[in-house]
Amino acid sequence: MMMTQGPWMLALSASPKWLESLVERLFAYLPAWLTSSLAPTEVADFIVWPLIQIGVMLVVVLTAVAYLTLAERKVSAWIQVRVGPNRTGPLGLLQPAADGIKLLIKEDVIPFKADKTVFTLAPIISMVCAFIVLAVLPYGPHYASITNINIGLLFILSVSSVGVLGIILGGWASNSKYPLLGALRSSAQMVSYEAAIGLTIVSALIFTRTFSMQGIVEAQRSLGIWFVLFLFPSFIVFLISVVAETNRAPFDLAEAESELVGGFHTEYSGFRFSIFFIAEYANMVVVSAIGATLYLGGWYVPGMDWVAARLPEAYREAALTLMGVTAFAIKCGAILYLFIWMRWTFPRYRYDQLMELGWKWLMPAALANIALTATIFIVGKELGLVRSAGGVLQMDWQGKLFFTLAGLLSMFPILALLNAINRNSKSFNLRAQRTTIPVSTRKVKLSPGVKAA
Amino acid sequence: MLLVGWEAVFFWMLTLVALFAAVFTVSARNPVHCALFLISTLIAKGALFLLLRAEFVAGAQILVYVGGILVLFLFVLMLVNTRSEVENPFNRQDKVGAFIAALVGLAILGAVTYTQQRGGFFKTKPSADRMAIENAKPDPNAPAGVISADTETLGVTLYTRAVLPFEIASVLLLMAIVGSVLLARDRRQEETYD
Amino acid sequence: MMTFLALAASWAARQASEPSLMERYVQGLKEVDASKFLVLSAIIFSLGMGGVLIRRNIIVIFMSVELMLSAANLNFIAFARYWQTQGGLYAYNGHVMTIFVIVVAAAEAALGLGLLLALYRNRETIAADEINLLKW
Repeated sequence: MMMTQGPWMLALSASPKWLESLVERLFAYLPAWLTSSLAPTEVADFIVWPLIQIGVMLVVVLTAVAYLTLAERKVSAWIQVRVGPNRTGPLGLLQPAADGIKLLIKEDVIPFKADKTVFTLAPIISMVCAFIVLAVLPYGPHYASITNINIGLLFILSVSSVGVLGIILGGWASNSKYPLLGALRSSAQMVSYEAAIGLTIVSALIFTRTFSMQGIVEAQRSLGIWFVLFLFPSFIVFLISVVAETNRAPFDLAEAESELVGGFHTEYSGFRFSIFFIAEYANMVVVSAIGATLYLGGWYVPGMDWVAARLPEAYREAALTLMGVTAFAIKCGAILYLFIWMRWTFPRYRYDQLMELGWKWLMPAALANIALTATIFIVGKELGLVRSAGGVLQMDWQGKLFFTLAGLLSMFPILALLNAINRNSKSFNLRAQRTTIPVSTRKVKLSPGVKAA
Repeated sequence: MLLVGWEAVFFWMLTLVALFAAVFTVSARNPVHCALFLISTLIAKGALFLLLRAEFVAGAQILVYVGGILVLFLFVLMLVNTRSEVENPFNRQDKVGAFIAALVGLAILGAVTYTQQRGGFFKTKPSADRMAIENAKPDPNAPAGVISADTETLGVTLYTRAVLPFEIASVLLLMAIVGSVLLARDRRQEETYD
Repeated sequence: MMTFLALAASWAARQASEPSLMERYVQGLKEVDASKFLVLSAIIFSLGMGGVLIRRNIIVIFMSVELMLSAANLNFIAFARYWQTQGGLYAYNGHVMTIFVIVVAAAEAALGLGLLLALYRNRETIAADEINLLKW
């Protein structure tokens, strides 16, 4: 019916020109029986270039994860007016390596009563699911992602929902009280917040018109704008739910160390524990990359095409790639910094507050936002402010202004709705909530310390 | 439709995974292991959907089944005590039950084979006007390397031809939500809020 | 003797012209058509049915029901793909049907597990053959 057409051709996989010519030159040296059934461009597109990218991405993300732990400790020290790690190497820059070696040479304990297969499987599931998502993340122009599938965003959602299993199974297989409680908490929490994330992404899809991650960036590039302007409420909901989804403070109920010892990974030690740890931080990197792609334009910055057009033809693509990768890294870093900042600023939520926030605040907000965004889009379309041509949106500055203003103003009806829904439970203090239940209908005896309203 | 080459290799691998995981889903003693094997077979089936060019359904299957339903199963498994079922997983009529299931399976297999032998549904040639309509659309066997338009086509079909079932399904989901909230309340909560 | 040789020669010729059983199996392995999907789906369906009939744990029975539903999904998608490549109209109806099956499975799981928890609160068991009274 409708093919994804546009100024670009969305390819499943593409490689830069120099690699194609390199592979073509290499083919001359290879024996004929090997090369006869293969086309050099396809080999470059589907085998060589993805393998190179996989290797580079793994190294980059693992390094990023290692230094994220250092950044976390440095930022927390800065927030708490301390110095932070500064003994290992200059400015403590070798601290991640020291931590890694310590965790590697520690004894690996498997509890006697644990379900050994599942116990070993759980960290692997977490890790694999965290890293598989990288396959569809675009970090630059059309050839700069391992693959570009038409269900990219759905793929990310489903893989990260499988990642939840790692935590649940790890908690269950330990055969111990606290991990089980942590696993119970986290499974309920992550399923609830996944719903909020899925719903809030739907409202973004109204503007992206595609699931493909590269297509999402290209949609913002063709408009010359970031979708955070059109989708401000959705962005807020996304940020909050994503923190809960990655089990970070203030939503780290799954591993609340002051309540559950260590949560789901209490019984894990040594390298298995560090795998869980790496998976958690890799998840952070991944969700910040998703947020950057969906709302902050991914590798696109307004004006980069203008700059590239002024460069000589030969350097254009390379310059675009360089700017794109830098912009993408900066955006991810900003969101990651926000996560760390939130962790060291807010106190942990109580469990019922967490559930209430998920189901009574974020979920209605996301739902209302879908309806509002769809209405705004239809109104804009009827006013002639936006046209859809070949699966791509086109609008001029009036349209952009209209959608930006409408997106910001739609905060107010959403807030009004949330206010109406949570009339009785707006206070996060249990005692204050209890007194709002009318005395005549209250049959359960309150604890003696509480006075009736 | 014919899957050849690597697609056939992947088909057989995924089929083996799906089959063995399904067998263990039914036969594993520990319900959590059952859930794990069910997850394996569902993921293998999702990959089979990809071979059949149904990308959106594959994603939706893994998202809803594995991420939602199976997590819910595991959640409930942790809430209830299943020790007696682990020691004695099968009921007294297990021989009869297995026999009936095998009979039904054989009947379906027989039907499939019989129709195949008779040159049934997989040998019909499309009529000329059907082919004309199909040729107006993008080629379903689009060349490798170009991103497919599966999601758009599915969305158009869902919101034009299947609007009424779609609405009914949403009402069904609403009923399920309300019903499970009602069921999940315990006595103390009911007394407080009624 | 001559007749025997002639018979053997004609038999060998027929064998050479017609693909042997082994060759046909190898052909079937190399070229997968929609009927293989149907066979797989039938086997998984009957496995799920066996699970429903023989297991004691109600949660595992639920899982077996999910197995049956997803086997049906595989059928729908296989037929949809077949119809698509045959140039049939509205080939995506099969996909739509699968989406509805997934929706029904989700609703069923939510309600079923809610019922199950309510049951467990009252009876402290989830073994199917111990819940054998119509009222308690």
